[in-house]
Amino acid sequence: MKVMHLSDLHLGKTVLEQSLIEDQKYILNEINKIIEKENIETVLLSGDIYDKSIPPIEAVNMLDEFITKLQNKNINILIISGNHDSKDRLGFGNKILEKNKIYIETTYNGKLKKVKIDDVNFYMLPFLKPALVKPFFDDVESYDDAIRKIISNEEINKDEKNIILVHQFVTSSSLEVIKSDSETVSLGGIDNVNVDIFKDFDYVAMGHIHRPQKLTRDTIRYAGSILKYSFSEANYNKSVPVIDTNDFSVNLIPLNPLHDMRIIEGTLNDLLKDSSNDYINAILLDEEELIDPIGELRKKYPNILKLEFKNKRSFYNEDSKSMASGNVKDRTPLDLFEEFYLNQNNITLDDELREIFNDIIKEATNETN
Amino acid sequence: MKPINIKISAFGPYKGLETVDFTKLGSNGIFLITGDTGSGKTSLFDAICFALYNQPSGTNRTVDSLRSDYADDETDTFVEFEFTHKENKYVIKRNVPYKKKNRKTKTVAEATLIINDKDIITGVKEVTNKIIEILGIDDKQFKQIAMIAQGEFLKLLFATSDERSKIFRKIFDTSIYYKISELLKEKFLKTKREYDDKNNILKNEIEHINWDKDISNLTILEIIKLLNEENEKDKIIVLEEKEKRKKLDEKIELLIKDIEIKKNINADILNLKNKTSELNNLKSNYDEMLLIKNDIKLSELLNPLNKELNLYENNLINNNKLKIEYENYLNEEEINLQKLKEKYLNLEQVKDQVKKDNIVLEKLKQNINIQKEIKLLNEEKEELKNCNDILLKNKKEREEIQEYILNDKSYINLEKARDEDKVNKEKIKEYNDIIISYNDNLEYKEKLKLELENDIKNYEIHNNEYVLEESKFLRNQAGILAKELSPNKPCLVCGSKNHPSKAELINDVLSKEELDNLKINLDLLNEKRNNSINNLNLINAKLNEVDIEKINTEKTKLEAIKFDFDKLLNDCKIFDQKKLMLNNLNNSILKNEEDVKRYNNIISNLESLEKQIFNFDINLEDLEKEINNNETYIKNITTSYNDLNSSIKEIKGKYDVVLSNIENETKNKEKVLNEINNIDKPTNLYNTNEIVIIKKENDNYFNSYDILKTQIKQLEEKTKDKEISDIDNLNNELLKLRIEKNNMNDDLIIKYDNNVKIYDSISLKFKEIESINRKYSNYKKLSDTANGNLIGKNKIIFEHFVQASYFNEIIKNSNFRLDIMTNGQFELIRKEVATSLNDKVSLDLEIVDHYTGKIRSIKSLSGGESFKASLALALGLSDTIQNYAGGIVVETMFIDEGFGSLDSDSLEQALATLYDLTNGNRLIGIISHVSELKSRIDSKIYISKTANGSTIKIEK
Repeated sequence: MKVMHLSDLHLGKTVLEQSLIEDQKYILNEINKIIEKENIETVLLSGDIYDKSIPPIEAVNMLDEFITKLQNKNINILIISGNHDSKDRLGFGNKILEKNKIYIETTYNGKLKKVKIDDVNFYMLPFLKPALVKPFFDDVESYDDAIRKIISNEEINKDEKNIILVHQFVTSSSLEVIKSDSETVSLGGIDNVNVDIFKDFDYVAMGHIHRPQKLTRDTIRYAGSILKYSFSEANYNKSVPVIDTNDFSVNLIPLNPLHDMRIIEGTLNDLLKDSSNDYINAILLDEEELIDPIGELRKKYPNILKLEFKNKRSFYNEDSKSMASGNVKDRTPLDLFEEFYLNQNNITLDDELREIFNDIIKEATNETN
Repeated sequence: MKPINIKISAFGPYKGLETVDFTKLGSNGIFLITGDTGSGKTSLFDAICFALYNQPSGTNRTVDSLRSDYADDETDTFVEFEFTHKENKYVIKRNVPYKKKNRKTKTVAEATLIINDKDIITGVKEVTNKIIEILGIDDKQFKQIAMIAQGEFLKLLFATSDERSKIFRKIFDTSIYYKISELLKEKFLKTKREYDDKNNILKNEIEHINWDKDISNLTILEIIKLLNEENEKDKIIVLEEKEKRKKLDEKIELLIKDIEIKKNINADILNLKNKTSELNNLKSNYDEMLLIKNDIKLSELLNPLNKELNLYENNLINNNKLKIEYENYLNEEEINLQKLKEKYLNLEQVKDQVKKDNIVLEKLKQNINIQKEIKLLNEEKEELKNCNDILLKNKKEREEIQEYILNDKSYINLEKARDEDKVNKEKIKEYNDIIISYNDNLEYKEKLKLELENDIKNYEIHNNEYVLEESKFLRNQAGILAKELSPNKPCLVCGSKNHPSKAELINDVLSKEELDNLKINLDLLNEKRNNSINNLNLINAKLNEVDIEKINTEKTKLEAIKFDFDKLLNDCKIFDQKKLMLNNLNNSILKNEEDVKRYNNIISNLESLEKQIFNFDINLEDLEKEINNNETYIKNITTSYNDLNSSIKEIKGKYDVVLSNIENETKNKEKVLNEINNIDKPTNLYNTNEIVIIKKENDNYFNSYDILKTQIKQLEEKTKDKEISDIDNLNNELLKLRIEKNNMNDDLIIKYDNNVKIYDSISLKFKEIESINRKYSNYKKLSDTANGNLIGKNKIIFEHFVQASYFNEIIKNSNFRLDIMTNGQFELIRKEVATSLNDKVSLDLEIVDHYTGKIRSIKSLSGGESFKASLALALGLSDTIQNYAGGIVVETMFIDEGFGSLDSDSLEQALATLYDLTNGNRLIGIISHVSELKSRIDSKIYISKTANGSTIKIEK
C-alpha cells in the first residue's frame, strides 16, 4: 500500500499580513495531482490542519474540497489535531465521517484510536498537553511523561506493520531538530518528547516542525509544512513523503508553490534592476538614508513582505544640546544648570548669578524634603 | 525580587483565604492571569504592592478600600507575601484595619517582616522603610518596573512633554529641578512686581505735585531737585500766614464757652418758677389724705380677727350636727344586738349534731371501697371458671403422645437404609448418562447419512463435467495440430501428406490450467466423500457396543427402591413433630395448675369481704349537705355577733371626740370677740382688696409732696443773685468772627504742605527702587533660562533638560525591543526641534519609519503598532529604572491587558519579545482574557468570580 504523509497545512494562515489562501489552494491542487500519479491509497495528516482554533471560512471550504476529492477516489484519510487546531471544531462529526473512511482523532480517552487498513495498523495520537493526560495516569508532569505513558499503555504487536500519527515536538538527544520561525515558541515549560518512545513503530508520521526532516532513521519523519511560512524557510524547498508499506521505503516528492518565498540582499539600486512576484524579504545594504525605499521596491516586487537594513543609520543622538550630558544621577543641580545655562545663553554663568542660584538650590532642597 | 508565595485574606474581591504558590508556575517563562472582568486579576498585584509598600497599585484606590465587601465580620484582611531577593528570603505580613460590628474603633494596622526566618521587624512604617532599603526602589518606581498597568500602557507613549515630565518627576525624583525653576520664576515675578509697584507709586505721587511746571522731559532725580527749590521759596510766606490764623482761633474759642454758661442760668430760673406753683396745688388735699391713711391702718388690724371668728362659728355648727347623728345610731343598734345574743347562746347544740353526723359519714365511705373490690374479684373468678377442666384434658393428651414416642422405630430404620440409597442414586445417574450419549449418537448418525448422500451427488456432477471438458480439450489439441497442416506437408502425428478431414478448433474450450484446476477440485470432492463414509462406519460401531434394553429394566428396579427410602424419611419428620408437641403440652399444664391455685384464693377473699359491709338508711350525699348547712349557720351567727359588737364600740369613741370639740370651739370664739372689742372703729372699713389700691395712691401723694419741696430748695440756692441774660447778642458776635476767618486765603499753605510731603516720600522711594533694580535683572536672567523663556531660543525647561537625558536612555532601551517587534521598521526618537519656538518639545516622541525613510508623529501609528511601541517603551523604562537603581532586578513582571488590539502575528512577536525577557530567570505574568493567550500559555492563574467573592486556582 502507498501512503502519503502530510502535516502542518495551517490553512488560513497569513504571513506578515499577507493572506496565503490562494497559495494554499494552489498547493493542495498540486498535492492532489501527486496522489493520482502515485496511486496513493491512504493519506495521513499529522496535525495543524488549520492555523487558528477558529479558522476563517475560506480555510474550512478549502479542507472540505480537498478531502471530498480524495474521498471520491476512495482514498483513506487519517487526520489528527495539532496544537493550532481546536479539538472540538476539527473533531465535529468524526463518527459519521468514519463510515466514509475519513478518520479524525482529536482527543484522548485512555486508549489510542487504532485503524486497521489492509495489513497495517494506524495509531492516531493527536496533540495533547500533559493536563489532558493526567486523569489517566499517575506522575504525569512533562510532555515526555504524558506521551511515554500513553504509548506504554498500548499493546503493539511487533509482528504486524505499525504506523503512528504524532503531533508533538519530538526530539532526539543526539540529533538537533532544525526549527523555523513560523513554529510557535513554547512559553514556559519544556514541551519536547524523546523519539525513543516511538521505537516500536515501522513509520512515525510526525507534524509540528515545519522543515521536512527525518529523525534518527528514515522512517521517523517530520513531513514539514506544505508551504514556506517564514523567511527562515527561504533556503530549502518543501516536499511530501510517500511510503510503501511493503518495505517501508520512503520517497520524497518536491512541492512547487505558486509564489516562492525568498530573501534578496543588495543596495536599493542593485535590487531595482531585477523584479519578481515572489514573496520577498529585502535586505538593503545602503549606508545613507533612503527616500521611501519600500515604495520603490514595491514597484518591482509587488509581493514584498519585509524590509531590513543591514547598515541602518540610527537616529539616536548622543550629543543633543537639549538634554543633559553624561550620567545625570551623579551630577549636582548646579553643575547641570551651568551646562544648561551655557547651552541656552552661549555664555557661562557669572559669580553673582551662581551665588543666587546656590541660594535657590538650598531653598528648593529644604522645600522638597 | 522573586515572589515565592502569597496569601490573601478578605482582600479586594476575595472573600476568604486564597493562596498563590508562584513556584508552581516555574522559575521563568510567561504565565497568564485570567478571569472574568472585575474578578480581581489586578487585585493580585495590588496585594503585592500593599504587602511591600502599604500602597495599592493604582492611584485611584485607597488602603481602606482594600478590605473585601464580601468578608465575614470575623475574617481579618491581610496579605502574607514571601519572596527572595539577592539570595535572602523575606516574609511580609500586613493587615488592613477595619471596623468590626459592635465595635467603636477599627482594628490596628500591623506589619511584620521576617528576614531569613530569624530577624523580625515590626511596625507599618518601619517595614515599608526596610523594604525600600532592601529593594532599593520606592513604591512609585516598583509600580513602574513590575507592573505595566491597565490604561497607563499607552499613556506614556502619547503623553505631551509636560505630562511625560510629571511621570518622570515621580520615577526619577527630579522635583528638585522643577522646584528650582518654580522658585526662580516666583522670585523673578516677586521682584518684578515690587519694582513695578514702586515705580507706579512714584509716578503717581509726582503727578500730585502742586505746581504748574512742565516736567515731561525731566528725570526723576531732576524733578526731586526742582521740587526742593520750590518748597524753600514758599516756606517764608506760609509761616507768617499760619501765625495770624492761630490768634483768631483763640478768640472764637473763648466766646463759645461764655455763651454756654449763660444759657444754663436762664433755664434754672424758669424751672424754679414752675415747681413752686405745682407744690401749691398739692397742699389743698393734704388733710383728706391724712384721714385715709389712719383708716387703712385700722382695717389692717380688724380684717384677720373677723376672719378667725367666722371659722370658729362654722366649726360649732358642724359638730352639733354630728352629735345628733351618733346618738340616733347608737339607740338603734343596741336593740339589734340584744336579738343576736339569744341565737349565739344556742349554737352549742348545733355543733354536737355535726360531730355525730361526721362519724356516720366516715363509715359510709368505707362501704363503697369494699364493694368495688368485690366486683373486681368476681370478674376474675368468671375468667378462671373452666381451669380445672382444661387441666384434665391436657394431661390426657400428654399420656397419648408419650405412648407414641415410646413405640416409634422410624429413625432406627432410616440409619440402616441410608448407605444402600446412596449406591442406588449413583447407579441411576450412570444409567442416565449412557442413555443420553446413545441418543446423541443416533441423531449424529442421521446427519452423517444425509451428508454422505450430498457428497456422492456432488462428486458425480463434477466428475461428469470434468470428463466432458477433458474430451473437449483433447479434441481441441488435435485442432491445434491440424492448423499447422498444409497440403503436401507431412502430418506430425501420422506422417500423411494428405489431410482429407482436418480436425477443427472448438469454441468454449478450457485452458490446460483451468482443466487442471477442475481436476484438483474433483479430487478434493472425492476425498470428502470417502471421509463421510468412514465417519458413518465409526458411529455404527459405537452404537452396537451398547445393550440399551437391559439398562432401561435395571433403572426401573432401582427407582422403586428409592421410593421406599423417601417414605421412611417422611416418618422421621412426623416423629420430630410429636416431640415438639409434648414439650408445648408440658408448658401448658404448668400454667393450668397455677390458674387453679389462684381460683381458690379468690373464693376465700370474697367471703371475708362480704362480712365487712354495714347497713345504713341514709344517703351519703344528703348527709354531707346537712353537715355543710349546719357548719355555715354556726359561722354566720358568730361573725354577725362579733361585727355588731365592734361597730358599736367604734361609734361610741367618735361620739366622745365630737363632745370635746364643741367645748374647745366655744372657748376660742369668746377669746376673739374680746380682742375685736378692744380696737377703735374706723370711719371706713376697707377690705383687703381695697386696701391694696387705696394705699398705693395715698403713698404716691406723700412722696411727690416731699420731692417737690427738696427740688425747690436746691434751685433757690443755685439761682441766688442771678439774672436772665441776652444770648442772641453773643451769637451774633461769634458769627462775625467766623466770617472773618473764612475770608482768609489758604491756597499757598495747602500747596506748600502737599509738596513737602511728596518730596519726602519720593526721595525715599527713589532710593529703594535703585536697589531693587539690580536684584530684578539677575532673577530675570536665571528664571528666563530655567523656565525656557529666552527669546529666540527653543523653549526648554531646566527639568526637561535633565529628564531628557533619562528619556534618551529609555528610548535607547526601547528601540532595542521595538526593532525586533517591528522587523526593524520603526525607531523611536526624541523630538529635537520644535515646529514653533513657542512649543515645549524636549520630551516629545516621534517615530522613524525606516520603510519610508520618514519621521512621523507618534499619533500616526495604528492600534497594533501603538501597542508594540508602548510595550517597548514600558520595557525600556523598566530597564532604565533598574539600571539607575543600582542595577536591581525585578524578577517578576506583570502586564495588565492591551493584548486585545493585536493581530495574531503581532501577538506572536509581542510574546516572543516578552519570552526573550524571561530568559535567565524572569517570570512574566500577563493579565488578560484574550482567548488566544489562553491556548498559547500553559501556566495559568484562573480567577473565578462568584456571587460570594472570587477564588484563585493555578493550572500548569
